Amino acid sequence: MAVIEAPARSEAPAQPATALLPPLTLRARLRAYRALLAASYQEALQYRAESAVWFTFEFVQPLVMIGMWLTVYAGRQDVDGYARPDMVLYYLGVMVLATLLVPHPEWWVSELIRTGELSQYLIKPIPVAAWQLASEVAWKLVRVLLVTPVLVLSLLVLGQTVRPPALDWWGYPLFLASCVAGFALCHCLKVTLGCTAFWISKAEGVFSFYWLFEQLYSGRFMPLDLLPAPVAALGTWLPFQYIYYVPLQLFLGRLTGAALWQALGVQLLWLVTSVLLVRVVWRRGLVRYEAMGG
Amino acid sequence: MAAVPGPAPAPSASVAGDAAPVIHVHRLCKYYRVYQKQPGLLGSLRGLVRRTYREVRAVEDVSFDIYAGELVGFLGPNGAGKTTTLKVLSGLLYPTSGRVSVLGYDPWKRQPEFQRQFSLVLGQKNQLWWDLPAIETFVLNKEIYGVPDGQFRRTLDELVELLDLERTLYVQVRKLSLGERMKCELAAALLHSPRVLFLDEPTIGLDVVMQQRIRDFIKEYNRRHGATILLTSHYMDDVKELCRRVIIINHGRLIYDGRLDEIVRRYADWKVLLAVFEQPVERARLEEFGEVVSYEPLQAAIRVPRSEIAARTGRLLAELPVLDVTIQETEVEDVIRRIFGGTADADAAAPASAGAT
Repeated sequence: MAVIEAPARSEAPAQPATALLPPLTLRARLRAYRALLAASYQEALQYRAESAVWFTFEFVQPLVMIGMWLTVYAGRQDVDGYARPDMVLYYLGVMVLATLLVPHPEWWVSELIRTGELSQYLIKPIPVAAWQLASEVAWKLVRVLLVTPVLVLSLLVLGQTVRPPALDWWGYPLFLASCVAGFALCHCLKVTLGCTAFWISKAEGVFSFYWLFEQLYSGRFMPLDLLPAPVAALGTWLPFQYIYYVPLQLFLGRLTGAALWQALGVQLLWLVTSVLLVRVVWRRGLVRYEAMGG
Repeated sequence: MAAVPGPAPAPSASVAGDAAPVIHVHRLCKYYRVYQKQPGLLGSLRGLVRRTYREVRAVEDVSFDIYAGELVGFLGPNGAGKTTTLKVLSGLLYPTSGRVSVLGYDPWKRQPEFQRQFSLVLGQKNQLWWDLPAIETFVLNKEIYGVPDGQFRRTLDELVELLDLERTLYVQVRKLSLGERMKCELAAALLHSPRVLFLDEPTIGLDVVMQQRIRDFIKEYNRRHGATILLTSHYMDDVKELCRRVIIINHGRLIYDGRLDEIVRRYADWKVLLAVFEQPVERARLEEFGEVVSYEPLQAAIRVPRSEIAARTGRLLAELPVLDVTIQETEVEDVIRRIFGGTADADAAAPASAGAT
């Protein structure tokens, strides 16, 4: 048998070799992130038809809900503290925010892991998280293009039934900040969800379980304060209302004073928790990936 | 008595003056634990309670050093551990035991400074953005790797010229043929001028002309830039044309590390002739042309010494009612099977004297 080995030499290079490229400065890194976002945006544009189909699902439901509530309000001024204009504005808010603040990285992440495509991203000198985030932000930028005409049209039709929210000037930047936090929170939760693919080969079952709770407690169906008390109680211990329900309540002027700051504080807490969670799960998953085959 | 060697002397003493290897692999082992499902529904249920695992020894005690500018062929049948080793070297897998260093780095730490200096091309995976023209991936890679504008332009021009990419650069990747895509994959992997290049099956699935083009390119790239290249391939021609040195592993173990001309001369000096006949031909007739590997009255495969292939094909065409004839290149698997003594041929039985150089 031909067992022929080259003489084993056991010394390793003393000094790591330096690249034939200039060092990566902060400026170079920022340029890389910008290029990543630009490429992601171009790709998302390629899927604008698909995006439009998904968007249709997302905006039809709140509009139907508006129609339903308008029937409920026939002859009433108020349902559990929601005047008719508030309710219409609530669902218009859901229509816009649910589309813009709920990313879906779980599909892509689990697909990368399952197929091993992840390897291509792991060998690049830029964190995989940057790819995930850039891709989701890009899809949302396309959604902005889609949601704007629908919103304008809805306001034209429903114009006399809504009234502008009574917000102080500082309420608007606070609302925007809360929206960004909600998006980041949801993104982290769903990347974590996608990471289940490190351990489970078919993750869709877990996804459905997650969606059930997200749908109910994000406020998509109805304002959470209208839910039956025991059902709503569980929701207060879950992160989902901090995705867009809390920003929306802020926008509607229904969160004021101490309650407002408390809600924003808890949102921030959930955001930090979700960032830590996704980091831990991602790292543990990678250990498994590195062990199992890549 | 006292001849038992103690710990090896300090390496600096023994190889003074030698440059350090670019790739250093010392007693590398990589084991996987694979979940083993019992058959049937009952087995699935049992698996929920207690899982049974099987240990797969993908790489076992493999050592080699590769020096700057070498172009080494990495051979072995499917599942031999080639890709696993490349993945360890790229930092995608961490070693179960042993030591690995590439350019002086621990690959699995995945430091950006290391990652900017190598590339891994997996022939069956792509890094190009499917829905965008290849140039978009190139520009993105430029920024991700931090390639200065001037250098990027020069490198791109060179790659476009070498790979003949003018027309494919601006076409959506999904509309490219497999060969065009592979050329773009190579270009995408080389834009940051890596010192080390791992190529896993770069010619798989390509037609002969395209295989040749890729080969020419790899050879030229290695010559021009002195990049260190480790290449796996199923096609003997790839290896023959490109690599002076080959490393062969099977079942995770290193079985040969040495000059290629030695191994090809010794083990792969035949080709296989596939012939289809108009009328049934007797087996005995075919034995005259070489060793009959498989036989049916209307078609047969005959192993013929490489040096006689033309003469015997000519004779075959002249003497027998041949409808069609193809000459099959020897596959790496065949060579390896011979090294293992899988056939009873004399030349396979006596490789013990083959010395690595």
